[in-house]
Amino acid sequence: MLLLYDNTYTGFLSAVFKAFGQTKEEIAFVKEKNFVPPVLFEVQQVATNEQQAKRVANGLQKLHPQLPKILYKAWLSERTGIDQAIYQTMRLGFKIKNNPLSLLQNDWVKQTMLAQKKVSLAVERGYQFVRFTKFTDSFYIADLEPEYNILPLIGQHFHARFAEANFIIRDKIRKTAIISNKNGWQLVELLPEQINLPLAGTDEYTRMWQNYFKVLANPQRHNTKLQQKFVPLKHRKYLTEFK
Amino acid sequence: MLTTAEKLNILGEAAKYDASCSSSGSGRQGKPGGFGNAHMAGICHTWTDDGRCLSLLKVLYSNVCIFDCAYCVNRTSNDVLRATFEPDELAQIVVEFYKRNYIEGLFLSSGIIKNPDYTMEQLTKTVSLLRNKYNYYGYIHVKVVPGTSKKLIEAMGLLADRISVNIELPSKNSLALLAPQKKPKNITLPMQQIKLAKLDNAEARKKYKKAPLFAPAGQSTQIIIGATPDSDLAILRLSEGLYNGYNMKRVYYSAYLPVGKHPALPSPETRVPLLREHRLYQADWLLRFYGFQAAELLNDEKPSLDLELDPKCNWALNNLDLFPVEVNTADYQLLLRIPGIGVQSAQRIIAARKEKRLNLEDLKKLGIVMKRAQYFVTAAGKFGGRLRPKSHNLHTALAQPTDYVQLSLFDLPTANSFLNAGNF
Repeated sequence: MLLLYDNTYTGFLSAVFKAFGQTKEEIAFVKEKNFVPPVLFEVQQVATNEQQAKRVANGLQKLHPQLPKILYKAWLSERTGIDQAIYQTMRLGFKIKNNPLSLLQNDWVKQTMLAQKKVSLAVERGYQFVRFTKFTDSFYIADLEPEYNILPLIGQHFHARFAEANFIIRDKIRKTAIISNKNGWQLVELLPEQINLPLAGTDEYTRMWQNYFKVLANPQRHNTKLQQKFVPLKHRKYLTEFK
Repeated sequence: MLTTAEKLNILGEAAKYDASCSSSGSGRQGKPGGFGNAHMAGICHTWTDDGRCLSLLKVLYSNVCIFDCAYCVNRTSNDVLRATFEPDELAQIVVEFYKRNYIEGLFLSSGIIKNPDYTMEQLTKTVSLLRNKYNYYGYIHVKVVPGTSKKLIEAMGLLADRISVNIELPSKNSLALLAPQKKPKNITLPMQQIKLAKLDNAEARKKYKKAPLFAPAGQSTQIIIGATPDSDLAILRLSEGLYNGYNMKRVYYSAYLPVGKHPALPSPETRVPLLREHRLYQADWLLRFYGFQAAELLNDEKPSLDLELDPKCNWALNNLDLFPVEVNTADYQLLLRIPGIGVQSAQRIIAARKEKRLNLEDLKKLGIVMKRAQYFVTAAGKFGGRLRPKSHNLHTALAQPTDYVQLSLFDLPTANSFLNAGNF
């Protein structure tokens, strides 16, 4: 049976909840946005249900406190077949009544862990490579083109740091943004005119940073190959120091 | 008069010889009305052309120095442009950079202006402005000038996340030769004071939850490699002593970059010993995370690390009677000693073998580096190595081509974030 859900993680967990209810059939998951009506499979539309999703998440939490977050990260990778891998990993966890993620010899777990690792790296790069441009003392904007949909995962980090300022971090690929101010932060969809709003220009501190970045390298240890391993070219577009 | 931008160029360049740039180990929380916090695993924000991570704004307060250490670019007899910040000038740079997410914090060091205590007072003013005027709660690492008084060290520990004193040269003889004004006692005394203040603070925090933190990220130090004839064995013994005796969080090794001529120093044409530095870091990791002791890795007959082979492989080749090890039964400490198995892999093996008896195929899936491990393990009784452990060709088979990857000068970024995420 093919379970069709509404593209959200809550929707996915609701589908998982439904799947746990029917043990006999083969289950597959599909997002509405990827849906092509199949010939042989029975299709069921799953209604997104907060409470059911919560019950699944609570169950996972009991296996290991970090499990819900790690599986959410894996889901955000949007890799082919990842929904199935996560579902099978959850089943394994509930079967052994323990954290399933250490069982890397299991192919489903391995797939899930690889996916979450990719997303974790993207999150780390979000922490590293956001470069705010300054409009006023209390208003900043930064742009990113991340490989995965990481904004939901990095919002809290930046909000905790810069709660007193108003700032926006835009995902130029997915046309979404984090908007943060004193009272909290949220993820929003951007309108076309909001996507193209230019960043703030350079000022004396931008130039000081660029010069500082140059003088800090030791020419006798020159190693741009190593540098490129940590800062791949595709991530340099918005990095002030590489301009 | 120099502008702020010119000063930053001069004092940034003067600070580039310090290897440390780590921002991990402190979880300082922000407070309402202020900005910034510290991220436990640390965050690197960019990497410079030499492939080293740039996490903190690494800068000297002043490159004026009354000392004349032969290995140092800022020695008093060297003809370089001198500059000194004003406390507020530097604090503002930190604030502006931090708010744009350029940096994770400040790493402040200085040449010795007038005397150690005067210098430390200037650093304290700067850091105090950041904490109290600008309400900045991000990471701060301050280098203590050798010979600073106890009172100033204790005050700094309450403001900074990490405070440290650099040893620079690994023996008394080398210090006497190249840095006659630096007395070993003036280096080890502050280290001891930092250690004791931290222990006192831990006691106080047990009693009063609100007692202020003292240097939560601990202390570190740096040793210059290759400026003097000191052997790897002497260096590792020193590091071991520092880890055990002073609760040191990290010892950094910095390959000597020629900055001047001195009869006792290597000539400016000498190659920078980058590979030796890398091997020392590997050996250092073995001391800290793998339960090794310096005496197991090197001895007086063989006081230098093998440049062709990493220290763990080398140790294994010298102790072949322990191998091959059966991964399904070996305890954690023994697993850690197998080349190709690190802390993460060893933990994974322990967790995975509870569910099933592991075979060679499983080991690959767990992420064990079979390129090296194959010669030293059996899984479910099977040995998969291309050569028997006793083979004479093993050294050659294990030796990597010389284009090695330089170790990141950062506290285990991936391992830390994994451990913090509590995956294993």
